[in-house]
Amino acid sequence: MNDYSFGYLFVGIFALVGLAMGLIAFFLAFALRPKRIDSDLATTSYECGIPPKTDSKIKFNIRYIVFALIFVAFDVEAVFLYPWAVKVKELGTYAIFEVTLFIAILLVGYFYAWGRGLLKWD
Amino acid sequence: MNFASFYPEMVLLVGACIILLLSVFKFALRKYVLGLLAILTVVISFIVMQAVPGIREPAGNLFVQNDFSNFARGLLLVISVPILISSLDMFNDASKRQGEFVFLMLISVTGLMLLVQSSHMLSLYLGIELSSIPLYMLAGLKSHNPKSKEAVVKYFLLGAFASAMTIYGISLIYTTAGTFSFVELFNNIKGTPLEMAGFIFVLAGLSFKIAAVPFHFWAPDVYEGSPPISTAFISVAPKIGALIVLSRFISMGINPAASDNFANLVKWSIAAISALSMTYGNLTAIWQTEVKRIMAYSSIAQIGYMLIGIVVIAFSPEAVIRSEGARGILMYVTAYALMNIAVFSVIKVVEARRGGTTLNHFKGLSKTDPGLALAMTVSLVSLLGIPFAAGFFGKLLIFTAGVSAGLYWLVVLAVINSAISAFYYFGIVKNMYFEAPDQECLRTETKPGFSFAYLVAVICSVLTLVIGLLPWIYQLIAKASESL
Amino acid sequence: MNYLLLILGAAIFSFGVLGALTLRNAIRILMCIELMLNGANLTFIATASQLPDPGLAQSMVVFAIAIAASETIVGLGAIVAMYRAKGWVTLEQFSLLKW
Repeated sequence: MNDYSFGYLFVGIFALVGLAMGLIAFFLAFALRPKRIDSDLATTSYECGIPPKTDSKIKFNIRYIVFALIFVAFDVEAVFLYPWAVKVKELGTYAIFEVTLFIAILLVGYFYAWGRGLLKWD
Repeated sequence: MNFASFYPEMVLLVGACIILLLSVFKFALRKYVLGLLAILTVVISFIVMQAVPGIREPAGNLFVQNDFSNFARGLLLVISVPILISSLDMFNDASKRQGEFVFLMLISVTGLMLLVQSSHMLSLYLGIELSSIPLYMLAGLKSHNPKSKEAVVKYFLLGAFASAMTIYGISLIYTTAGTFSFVELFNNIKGTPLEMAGFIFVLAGLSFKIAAVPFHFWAPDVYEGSPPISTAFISVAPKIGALIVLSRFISMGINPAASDNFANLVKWSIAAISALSMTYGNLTAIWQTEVKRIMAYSSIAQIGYMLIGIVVIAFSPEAVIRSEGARGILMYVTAYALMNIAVFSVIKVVEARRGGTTLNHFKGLSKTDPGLALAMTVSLVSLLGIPFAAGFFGKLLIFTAGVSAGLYWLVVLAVINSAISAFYYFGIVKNMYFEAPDQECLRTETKPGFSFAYLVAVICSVLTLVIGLLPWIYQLIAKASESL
Repeated sequence: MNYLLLILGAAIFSFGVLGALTLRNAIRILMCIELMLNGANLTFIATASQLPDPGLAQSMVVFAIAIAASETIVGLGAIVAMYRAKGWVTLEQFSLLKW
């Protein structure tokens, strides 16, 4: 077993412990809960102590999707910054210039979205 | 990494970003300013490309710059000028969409320019994606046609499916060959089943981009649903990119001596795609009544003829015959680009003036619009391959290359198919010249004003007639294909 | 060679293909296409861990992730535009252009 796979051992242990804790919590809740249920209210989902009004499967306002899409675009582009951040000391100033260029190109998209008024709610 | 070699692409990128940001603001004559800026960007990029001295491998083994790829880059820049000019028809001065159209088109051209120089799976995949993601948006941009929204969803889903196949194919080839670079693949491909499956997947993704037969489903619907100027771009530019990169992949990356199985798979799969495309495209086009759909099936058939050039490269290891095949591809692609841009510009004008593009709408076009009818006739005749139009010389070069590679059956099939295609090309011509105008369609006719698409149609059809007779284009193509 | 991971990658890819070909809801098809991409990514990683220089394949995966995200954004945009215009996203309802 080399070092690379050995690292996964800890991930495996962590996953097992996490799974076990979740299962224990479920089991405890199952063991401790009252077996007899008197009112209908007790079977509904708990939401800040207020009785829920509608079904939980509601349609969200479609305007959210514009923000979601812009968020995903900028969020995922950060995937390029992680490898860059690891190696930036070795690569030197040239790499800083390149990543500035990369972010500048992303900013063009951001400014366009701003200019077209996509970031406004109304 | 040599930055100077990529100045043309950078010029396009910077120009596209400036246009996108400018399009947010309102100012006088915005439409013409943005259009002119876009054309200027393309022209500067072309000049820069001629001025910068080429290096064969500007970025390791990712890209190859030689006469072959430079010809394709130049061609891509040249064909985007008429499309940009005729796109001025699509927008009014207050339209917010124009900046987006120009931006997406320039970015797509950038991606294709990177694709045609790629000699590495990474740059191939990036080039395909950078060029095709803007195309999905171009297909749906600026359209009140209810079909457009469906067309763009369909185009996107099938396109994303195809590019997922491409990258899985690349990963399969990588599992046993252990490399991405075409040059190293030449020695590393051993013909294992995984590599064969990988090649089929990559070929499937590329044939989607060129709308060749098993992966052509999107073409008729997208051509029908999209605005005609976008269609002109979609039908021309990705084909140039995919054909060039496929011919480089086969000539650089596949060693015919290494494994008989693998070499046979490459040969026969491309030959089958070519034969199926031309036959299916022509036989289906005959039954269509919508001119856009006729042109879609016609372009499927045309890609079948163009693929003969690739089949020639795959079948014959001799450099002389390979460069003959490459010459055929370059000439045919150039001619095809001009003809298709002319045809779709005519379709754009007819759609604007008569409110539709079925065969009925083309009836009697010669009486109301003789210039338009003539431009359409010239382009169709050239697509058919009647002597002394550009398409004839393209077909001539491709077919002679096929004969010298010994592919008689494919050439005979292609000639038979050309004869079949006369039915529907002449069907359109007959409707334009020998039928009385349909009163239903004339009723919607708007008063003809100045139209950029008209101008482009006339210029492109004149070029179609002239370009096959210019000796320097043959010298250019011969020089380019030597360096394949 | 890490065959288990390769088989897992192939399985994920095949599930994606199967779903993309049989499902009829545009968003579900999009999710299946993401599955296909992830099958390819897993294959890259599995192969790269056996090679002396895994960097190239790993950078391919990084690019593939970013491209998949931008593709999803464009696709969702197109699907939402269609939903706004028509009120449905299932492909059986494609009325004007047959699927």
